[in-house]
Amino acid sequence: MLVAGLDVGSLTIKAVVLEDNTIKDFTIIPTGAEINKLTKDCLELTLKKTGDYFKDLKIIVATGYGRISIPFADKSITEITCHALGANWLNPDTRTVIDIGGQDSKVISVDKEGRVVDFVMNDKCAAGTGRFLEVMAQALGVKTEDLGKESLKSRRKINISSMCTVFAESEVISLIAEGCAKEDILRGLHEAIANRIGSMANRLRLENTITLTGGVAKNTGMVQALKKRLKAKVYVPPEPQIVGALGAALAAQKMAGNNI
Amino acid sequence: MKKIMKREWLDFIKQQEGIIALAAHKKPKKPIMSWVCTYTPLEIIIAAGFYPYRLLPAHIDPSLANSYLDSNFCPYVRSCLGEGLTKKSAYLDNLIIGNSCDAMRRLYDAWRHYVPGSFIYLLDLPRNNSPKALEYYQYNLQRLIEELESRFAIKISEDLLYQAILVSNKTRKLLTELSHLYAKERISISATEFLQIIQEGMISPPEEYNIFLGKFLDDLKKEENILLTDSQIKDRPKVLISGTVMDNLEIARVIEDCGGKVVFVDMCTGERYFSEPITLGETKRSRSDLLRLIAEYYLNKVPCPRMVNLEKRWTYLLKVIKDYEVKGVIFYNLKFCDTSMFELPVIRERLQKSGIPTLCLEGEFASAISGGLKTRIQAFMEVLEFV
Amino acid sequence: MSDDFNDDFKSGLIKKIAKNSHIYELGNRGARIYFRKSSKSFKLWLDFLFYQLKEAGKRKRPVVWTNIYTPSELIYSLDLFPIYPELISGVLASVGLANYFIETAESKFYSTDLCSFYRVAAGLVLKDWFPAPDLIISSAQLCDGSTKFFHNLSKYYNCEHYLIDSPYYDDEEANSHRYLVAQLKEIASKVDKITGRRLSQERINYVFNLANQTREDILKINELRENIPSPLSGWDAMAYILYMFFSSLGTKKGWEFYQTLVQEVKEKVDLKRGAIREEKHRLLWLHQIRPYYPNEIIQNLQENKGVISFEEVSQVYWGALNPQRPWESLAQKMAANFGVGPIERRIKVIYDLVKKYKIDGVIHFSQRGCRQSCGGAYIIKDFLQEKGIPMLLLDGDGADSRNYSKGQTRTRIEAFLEMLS
Repeated sequence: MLVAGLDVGSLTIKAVVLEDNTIKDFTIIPTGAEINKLTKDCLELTLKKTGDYFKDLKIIVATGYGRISIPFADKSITEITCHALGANWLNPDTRTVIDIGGQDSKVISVDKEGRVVDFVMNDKCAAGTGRFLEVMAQALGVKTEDLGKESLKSRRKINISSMCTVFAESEVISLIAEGCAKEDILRGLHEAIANRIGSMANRLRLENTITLTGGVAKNTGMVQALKKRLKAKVYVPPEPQIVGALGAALAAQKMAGNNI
Repeated sequence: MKKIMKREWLDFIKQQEGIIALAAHKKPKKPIMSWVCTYTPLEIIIAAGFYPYRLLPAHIDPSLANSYLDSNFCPYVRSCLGEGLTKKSAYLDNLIIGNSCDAMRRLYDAWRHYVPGSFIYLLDLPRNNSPKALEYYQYNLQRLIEELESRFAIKISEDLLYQAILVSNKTRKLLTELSHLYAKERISISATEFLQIIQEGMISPPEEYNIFLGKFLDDLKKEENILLTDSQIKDRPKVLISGTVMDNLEIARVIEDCGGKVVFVDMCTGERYFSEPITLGETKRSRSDLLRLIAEYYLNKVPCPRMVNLEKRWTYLLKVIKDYEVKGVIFYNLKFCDTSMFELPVIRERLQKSGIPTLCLEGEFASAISGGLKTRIQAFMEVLEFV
Repeated sequence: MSDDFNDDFKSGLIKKIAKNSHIYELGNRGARIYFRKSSKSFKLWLDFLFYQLKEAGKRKRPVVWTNIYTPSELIYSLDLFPIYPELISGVLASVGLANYFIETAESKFYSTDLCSFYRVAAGLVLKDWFPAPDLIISSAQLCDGSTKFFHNLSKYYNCEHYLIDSPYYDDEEANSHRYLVAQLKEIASKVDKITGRRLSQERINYVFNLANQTREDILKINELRENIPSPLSGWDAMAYILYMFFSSLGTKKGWEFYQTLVQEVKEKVDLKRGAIREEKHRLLWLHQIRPYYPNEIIQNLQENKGVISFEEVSQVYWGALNPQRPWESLAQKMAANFGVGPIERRIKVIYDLVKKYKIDGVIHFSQRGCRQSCGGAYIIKDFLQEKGIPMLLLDGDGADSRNYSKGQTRTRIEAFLEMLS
């Protein structure tokens, strides 16, 4: 049985095609203005890779920030439920999911079936999100994908006090002016985000294992900082970015199963 | 040479901090009762045999408490709860909270739920100084005494209360004198040092502090300690700082670095902490007489914006401005302080109409002061130079 | 013509118009036509709203500006005419005018961190587009913002402000009651001097009896709301009905409104017609208010079969008033407010409501700029969680639509309801 999950995020669109509980293939593309068309393209790309056709898909479930703008999806489910499903599938020991996405971050408590028990999300600003890191990377002249690697070189602790994207950017600029090393500033930024996420996570009763999802989980510096702050067992899936889409596909599979 | 003398005393302050720090996690001579609001009657704490200690956790990041109180909450209160959660120091065992505002009320709730095992009491406070409010507050003081007596198996006699008022009175007398010397005379203590001396008083054993401050003032009054020349003072625009809790003495330093002279600090860690001493009179008084006097003192002292009496605050600010020839007012309020934020538009407009320029700053508590803040202070000082 | 002149002219004209009671008469008629298909109770509220605005403009009786936690029975007993700036802010938000006033207030140094309802009201005052008060009476219950805001008003309008300071403890030894009673009596005697009339027992009897009858009707409605499906959506209860709840007790119009509402709710119960077509999740809404500007929250809830079965603000926490002991009864009503005092008091009421209304999930609306309610939210959440009742902290703003994020709000609500499934 062939199903698809689509995660329409604020920075990227993800598609996962699932056949009989196995990931057949997935695609990640950047988001643009025409969400509907781009999402369709993303799915078509994946289908091309798997050699399947759109009409073969039994059910399509969309999730993410743009989930309601996808008319060809059979259902929309929030990314919170999807991340919980996806993380549980990848690692059944998962009891907490921390998803750091492009526009928001969330902490989700999950039971052993992958059901959401409780969740919290960040305030509406970009602090502690992928977008925040992107802006800082730009200010420092570092490529987004190198952020983690660079920050791990740090030998000195710098405290970043602002968490507002605009203020933090000016703080970073003045630190550069003071001659601080890039890697130290980066480490400071990662620690600041980790603290912020940590205090958010503490609102829930944190339980092991913690699975990190979302694009930011690819950032090794961020993972290190979070491990330190949370003092917990942290699991990073090989493709943390597609966990939401995977969860959507799993939901689709469940729906399709019920229909048979 | 002269400078060294002053330094010696300032070193003593640091040592003093040592005393209380010792008290905090080793064995203090007396148990410690913490407080958070200047409407808490320190006399009663002293009479009950405690060292009063104001929670001022400027080293605790408010976000530590974000799992228990919303992030749009008074950062001072969040830092206090954050420190409470650590349970590290002896002064966190006992706490009296004044019901001064929503933030304090919720601190009381959160402390009871998340810092279990400690003694905590909420003292209800009226919002004005009408005769009825006075009567109500006096009744609450009575209740506080009863609570302390039953909880700690002590007796707070008239005599103990009387002695405690004498101790607090002495502190008030000395601090009032310091405040006059500081603002009017040409002694060379900086605004930072001035505030530090006041704040030390809030966290030190009161009698020891009185001895120290008495000696310090005697020395200051000696001719050789008057250091500033007339022109040094005249050229500096005089500034009044008005606000909530001063978490960062750096701000006062930045103002002075930019050429200003801070003459008065209308904050609860500044000159709102003390007023003129209580008049006791000669004859011996009953416990309720003494409580009456204490109640009158606290409700009539320089009001915090939490009190609902804008005219009283305005009159007092105006008097300070006239007496000390204040050129400009800097408001420094911690974020999310509703009572201050509501008062600001009215007071600010009146000041503008009286030709007094104002600068409004916001603080996050326990954070470094930013470049932006420095620039604004500097620009404001440039404005004042032309007024 | 210069722009300045133009603006002054416009503003002067609006001031004149807005203070003229004929304009409200016209408004009333217009609204009646526009809302002709709405329920009878809604129309009665419209009439009441415009009646208040009209009468305030005529100034036949002294106009008092007051807040929602000042018992309206006190105001009507004293034969004063009340205006509720907090409620007016909600109405302005619902017709999309709030942000205009908010910006005015912010330009006069009212911080964006303050409660948006007071920012709207402050803007309205600073624009001077409203009939001025002769007197201000406010209760210090629940929030600091209200107390300070009403105090500021007395400065802008240069009139007296009588504060009813509220004690924290609901004291068994009755000392806090005594403090309240003393203040209420003092206010009454001061008002007598202003009006030049003496407070009559007859008037107290009349007002208190009406208030008690209305209270009975509210209790009936609250009982009817226990039915499944929920006959009345909390979304309505927190809008025009809430306006009446706070401002009309002790008036004939208020009683008529609630009598009508009882009939309407009863009809729905008899027909087994719910507030939404398919009811799956019964929700309890915490906080006094909800967002009033156009928003999608109620659609988000409905699409996911969630209904607000009850809201804590509609709880009748006080007993019937005794006209023979007016000040003591009013003091008791105030002291019984579960929003005052230790959080356990509020938790108890919330848990009772959860059981009474068979609640599946609780939403705490975390109004930005509100300290008093949000400050206790985590403790409530911890308590409910232990009892197995999930609770969502829904960040948002009641009057300032700039703080409303459609997508994020939707995600939170949907995820919460998915979780309840």
